Amino acid sequence: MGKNSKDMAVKRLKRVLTVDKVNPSSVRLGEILKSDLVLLFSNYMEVKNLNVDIDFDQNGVCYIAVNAASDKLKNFSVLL
Amino acid sequence: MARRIVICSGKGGVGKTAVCANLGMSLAKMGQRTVLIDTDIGLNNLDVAMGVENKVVYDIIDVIENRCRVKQALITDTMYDNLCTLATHGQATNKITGANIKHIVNSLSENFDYILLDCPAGIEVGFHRAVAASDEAIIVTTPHISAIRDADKVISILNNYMINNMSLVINRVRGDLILNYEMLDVGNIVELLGVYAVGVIPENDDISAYASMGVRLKNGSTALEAFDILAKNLINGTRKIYDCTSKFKGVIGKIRRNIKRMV
Repeated sequence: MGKNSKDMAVKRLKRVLTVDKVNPSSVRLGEILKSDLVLLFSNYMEVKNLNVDIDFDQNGVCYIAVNAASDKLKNFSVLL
Repeated sequence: MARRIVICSGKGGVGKTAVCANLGMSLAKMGQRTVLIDTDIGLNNLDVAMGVENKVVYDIIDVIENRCRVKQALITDTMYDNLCTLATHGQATNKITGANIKHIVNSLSENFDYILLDCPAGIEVGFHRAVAASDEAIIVTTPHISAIRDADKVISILNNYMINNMSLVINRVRGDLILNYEMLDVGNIVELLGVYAVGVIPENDDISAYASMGVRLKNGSTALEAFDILAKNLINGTRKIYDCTSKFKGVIGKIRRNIKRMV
């Protein structure tokens, strides 16, 4: 047993705590973000499809990927 | 107005009742008027930890159900006049609410400086009952992944309550294992849970041995020293931490560590 085993335990604990937080909250957070983003995007386009993926790495860093599809973008002159 | 502090953990067996009892004794020793309330209805043990199990006439359920007044149910400690225990009984009941406990705590608030509520394990109704009556929380954990994980969940739940101050007591810490990198140290736990440590209690055979005999920790015991530091931190708002590793450092300490490993 050495310093590595302690580091391993810390990493394992970090992972456990992160997973505990991610599972219940990421789905709900994703839904809230999605509704906000639909509002935001609809100022500029008709949103056809919107996907929000939330992922956490082992260090608890959150990555949010937004994939939006639209076939009707507003005319730039209308926006101005 | 008394400070109302719930002693909780999530995981069972981490030493909530022992921390509650010994912290209460240290606070009383320092002149603070302290009352300990057992809210673990059905699995009551605070009376045993305090050595007053033979003195229980009325308990918290009798108070709630109006069979006696709060003062009649308080058991004064044999060693400290300013320390009282409010026991509960062994029959589980779901009739008691958080409001009932809060009412009792409010009625005691003017006559005491500290009200410590010994919370049941888990995050079921008993936990919420105790937390609802408190303003502050001490989360007891051990340096083991399962206990820390449960403490983290409890902290998340406590964030939804009006708890002003949350702090950690890390119990059963072994300095020899920390120095051998076989146990998480206090810094790791505090960093991961994001709550400051108000006390660190070393693993000490005296705690369980004396508790079984119904005797108090003796002067000179490392556990007693650690509980006194915890009580001082609570009173003065300081953050001094008992160093569990000190006697295992240096050449003699290394020999101690090796002997402990062999035993």
